[in-house]
Formats: sequence, structure tokens, C-alpha cells
Amino acid sequence: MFDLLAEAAALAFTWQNLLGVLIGLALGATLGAIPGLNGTMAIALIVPLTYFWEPLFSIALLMGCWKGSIYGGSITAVLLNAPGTPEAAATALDGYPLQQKGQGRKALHMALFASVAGAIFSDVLLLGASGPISSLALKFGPAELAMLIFFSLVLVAGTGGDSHLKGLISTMLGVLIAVVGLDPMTAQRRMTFDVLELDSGFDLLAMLIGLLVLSEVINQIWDGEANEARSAAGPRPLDRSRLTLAEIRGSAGVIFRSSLIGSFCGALPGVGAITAAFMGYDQARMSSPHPERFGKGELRGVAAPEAANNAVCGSALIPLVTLGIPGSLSVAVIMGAFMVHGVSPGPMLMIEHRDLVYALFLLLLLSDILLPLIALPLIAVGQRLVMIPKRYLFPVIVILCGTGAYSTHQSLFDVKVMVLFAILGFAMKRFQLSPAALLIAFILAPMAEVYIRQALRISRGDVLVFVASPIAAFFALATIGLFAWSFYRNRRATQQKTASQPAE
Amino acid sequence: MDPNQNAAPAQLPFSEENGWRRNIAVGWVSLILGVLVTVCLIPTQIGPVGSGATILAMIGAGGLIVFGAILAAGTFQAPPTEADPPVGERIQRQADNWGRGEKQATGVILVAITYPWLLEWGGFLPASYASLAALLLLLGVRSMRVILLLPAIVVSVVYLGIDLVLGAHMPEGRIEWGGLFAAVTAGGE
Repeated sequence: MFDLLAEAAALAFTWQNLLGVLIGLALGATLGAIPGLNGTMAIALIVPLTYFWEPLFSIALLMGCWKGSIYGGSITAVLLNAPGTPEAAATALDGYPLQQKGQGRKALHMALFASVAGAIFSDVLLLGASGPISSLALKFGPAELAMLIFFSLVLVAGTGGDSHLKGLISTMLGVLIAVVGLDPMTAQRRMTFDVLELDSGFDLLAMLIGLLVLSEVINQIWDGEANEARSAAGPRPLDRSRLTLAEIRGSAGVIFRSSLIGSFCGALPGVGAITAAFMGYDQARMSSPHPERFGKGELRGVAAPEAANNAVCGSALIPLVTLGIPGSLSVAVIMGAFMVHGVSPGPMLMIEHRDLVYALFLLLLLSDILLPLIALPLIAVGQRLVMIPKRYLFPVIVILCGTGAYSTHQSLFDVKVMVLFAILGFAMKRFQLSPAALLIAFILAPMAEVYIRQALRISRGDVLVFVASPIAAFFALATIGLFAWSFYRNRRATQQKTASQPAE
Repeated sequence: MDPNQNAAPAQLPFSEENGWRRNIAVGWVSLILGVLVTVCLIPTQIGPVGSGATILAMIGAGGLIVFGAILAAGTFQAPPTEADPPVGERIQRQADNWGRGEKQATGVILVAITYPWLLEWGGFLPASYASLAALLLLLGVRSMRVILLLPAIVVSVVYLGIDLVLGAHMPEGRIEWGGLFAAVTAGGE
């Protein structure tokens, strides 16, 4: 293990990678602090550029960007009650009241401390757990992997959107879109309509930029965000309050429990940082001897969600590196970046490129340690970032989307694909369908197809192969159970609404 | 107030309050798409039945049909009431209530749609400059300094960064700008 870590350290700790992490952290924290932009959008915009750089440097930069954006969201949440990212919404509950009490600096320092602690906790977990889990994953055959993917698809359908049923519709749409292109085994054209460019299917990066970035920009413009007036009062100057050792010690228990919650949520597909942050906040409130102080400026109310949402990052990579399954939207984008650089996440990655995977884990730890270096100066300028008018910002992002989609393959067809998926993503958002579920299904469906075909070939066409082994049967049952549970939950919610509606 | 107006949405399974009409629309679109793919595309566009691709396509299309049908079923559980205006009237009402944001977003979509063709014909620099300036105008920027300078700065930085530094050649366009300029100046003389 130590030899492996030494090898990985030699790969990871180069000045280029260090620079990559620092640039990523700065970019992520800056973009994350601007409400309306989030880490996933930032990563999606940067991925095409990394195509031209070294894989490890690029991944270091993207990881830094992801980590930085999660903390960046809390800066404006505390200072202006405007969470830069959805993950920071829970931080604003107590962070902003603290700022109003003149303890904004203290709240931001606590958020930073909790973020670093939560992230380190989760990354150490990733470092320790991914090896054994990937060894276990090697015992999975094609049938087990196919059923595991179906289970993940149903689980991930709950990502975003307003109902699991609509999430499933998005997932099915993603599965259908994934069929477009040449058959991987027989090279037969499928749903290409004689368009040569579609032979290789829709380009993942173009689709990602359209679905996640451009559609979000259009959606925000539709909601009138571009016409927001700037606050006449301007930002309130930052106070000089300091975080004491006693306050850190007092929050240690809350940070530890929230880190556990965040790590658990991250490892489960479909449960993201937002849920983790609110769960962390709730446990802190419930375990406090003074729950009435929460929401009025309680320092633990800042520490808990920040530790939880940062602890999601490391553990969210566990299903990705061990099974090749992205459990959340951010991880799906990271997976896209891996694939651009020819790295296919999954159990074989841990065997074939063990040193590279551990180098990646070490870079994650490095980004946790370096976060304060970037975050502390950013706190001072964070207030100004939110003042950038969106009517200047959005047009620039639109052009960057076009450039990003074009630059990877230097194909104008990819720009058209990007626009097509931007319109689809926008329509999906208006109808409260989840683009995240579509994207994850698009990534997972081709893998499922290969496993289904391998399993059928091994069993000579016997479909019972998908329930023959205990593992496959377990995932099949779990998938059916999840379906049944989501329908039951929807029906029950509707009945409760009917019962609670006053008769007119 | 007609009691059905409030009661109808709550009777629908798998749909949330106030979003029932949207859910029904999603249901019908999914159902129709699923049927279309099953009937038209799977037999003609995908290989032999029983292959992995067909299985995957059938899972996708079948899922759209089943889940779409569950949502679309709401149509029959909540028939339109008198208080419900006809679809045409509703669309008209929504069009009348279009705010600035909606108009701007439509404009942005149009610019985004034309952008790939502008790139193809005009090349990266003119197409991006024009599109960025158009977007700024659309979003209500009225300062000529910003409209002229911001696109110039952004487009130059992106061009220098991607074309010259990273080596990804940006589209040069089909229009010969030099020749066109010479022709226009010669015509003027």
C-alpha cells in the first residue's frame, strides 16, 4: 500500500498538478460565488479546454474547480443571503443572520474550516474504501453489472425534477438518445437518419454543455434574472470578528457527524450535496441543547451543512471509480472529463491504472489542504462578485458554450448538437423534467447495452441470466422495489394533498 | 368559484398541485414519442429484433409509453371544466402575458440557433462578435461602449487562447471577407 501511495505521490505532486489544483480552486470558488453559476456549469465549460492538456493536470484542475465551487457558494450565502450554488442554501440559514450580527467573517471562517474537515474526511474514506469495493466489483459478471446499472438508473431518476415518475421519463429519453450511432458490435447504423456525423452518436461534451450550461442560461433569462436591478446599497463591509479555538472545539462533534452524513449521501447514487447539507443541518439542530438558536445566527448551523456538502465530493467518486457509475450530475460531468482523456472509470481502472487512481485521490486531498489559500483572499472580494450584472455575464457564457462545443473535435455539427440539447434542456426544465437523469442515462445506457449483450451471449439467449445469480437477483428485486416505492410515495403524497385541501 | 377547479388537480395520481396540466402534457408527449419510436424507428432504424440495441431501444420506448401513460391518464381523471378555458385561449392568454424575460429568452434561443450557421459562413471572429453584440442588445445593454468593446475583448481572448495557444483552429468561414471588402471598395469608386 505504501509503495503504491509513494508511486501515486510521485505522479501527483508535480508543480504542474499543483498549479492545476490552484487554478481549479480559484476558478471554482469564483464561479461558485456568483449566484446562477454553479460548479457543474463551470466544469462543463472547462472540460473541452482540458482536451488539449495532460490528463492528470486536467483532472487536477477539474477536481479543484469542483471543490472550490462548493465552498464558493457559501461566500455569497453568508454575505448576501444569496447562495452561489444550491448546495449552499442551508448555509445561508444561519450564515446570513451571523453576518447581520456583525460576525460574517467568523461565519465564513467556520464554513471554510468545516468544508476542509468534511472534504478531508470524505477523501480519506475514498482512499480506504475504493480498493476493497473495486475488488468486490471484479466478482460482478455482465448480468450483475447490467442489473446494477438498471438499479442505478432508477435511483438516479430521482435526481432533480419534481417527481420520480418524471425522472424516469427523462431516464428513458436518455436511454433512447444513447442508441443513436453505430452498433458497437455489428457497426450497423442506428437512428442516424443517414447523417454521417451521427455515426459516432451525439458528442457527450456538446450535449453536456447544451443541457447543463446553455439551457440554464436561457432558463434564467426566461425567469427575468438578466433584468435584475443592482442593489443601490451595495455590499456591506466585512467585520473583524474572529473564530476562536473554543468555537471550533464546540463544533467538532457536529462537523464529524455531518461529514459522516455527507459521505453516506455521496456514496449513494441520486442523493446529492443539497440533501446532504440539509440533513447535516437538521442533525445539528436536533442534537443541539439550544435548537431555538438555529436560524437566528448559530455557528454550528454554518458548520454542519458545509461539512456535509463538502463530504459528498470524495465519497461520490466511490461508485464512479469502483463500478463506473456516476451517482450525481457533477460526477457525471467528471466522468465525461475522464472519458475525454481516454480513462474509463470502473473496476478495471483500479487494476490497470491503480497508481493513476491513487494519484487522483492524493490530488483531491491536496485540493482540500490548498482550499484555504484560495478561499481566504476570495472572502474579501466575494461581495463584489455577486454585483456582476447578468446581462453582461450571460452573453459571454453563450459564446463560451459555442466555443467549448466546437473546440474539442473542431466540428460545427457539435455546435448544432449543443444548441439542440440546450433547447431540449430548457424545455425539460420548464416542464420540470430532470436533464441530469437524461445525461446520466445517456452515459450509462451504452454500458448497459454491452453488458446485456455479453450476458445474453454467455447464456445463449436465456433472459433468466439476469436473475440467476444472487447479486443480479438482488439488484433486480431492488429495482422493482424502488419502482413500487416511488409509485406508492407519489400516490400517497397526492392522497395527502387531497385530504389536506379545504373544501370550497 | 367552481369547486371542480380546485378539486381536479388533487385527484390526479403522481402529479403535484398546480403542476397537473404540465404533467399531463409531459405524459402525452412521452406516450406519443414512445409509440412513434416503437412503431416507426425500431423496425426501420435499429438492427434485428432481439439484439442488445433493440432491447435497449425497447426499454427506452416502452418506459416512455408506460410512464407517459400513467401521467397522461390524468386527462381522463380531470376532464376540463367550464372554468377551464380552451387550449387556444390559454395559449393566447400566455402570449399576452409574455414578459420581458420570456421575449429575451426567445431572442437568445434564436441567436443560439443561428450561431452555428453564422460560424460556418462568417467565421469565428465576425460570427461571435455579431452574436455577442446581438445578445447584449437583447438583454437590454444600451451602452455603446460595452456593446462594441466587450465582444471585441471576449472574442479576441477566446480566439487567441483557443486558436493560437491551444492550437484548435476556429472556423474561418466561407465568405472571403478580404475579397468582399475589396469588391465593395472597388464598387464604391
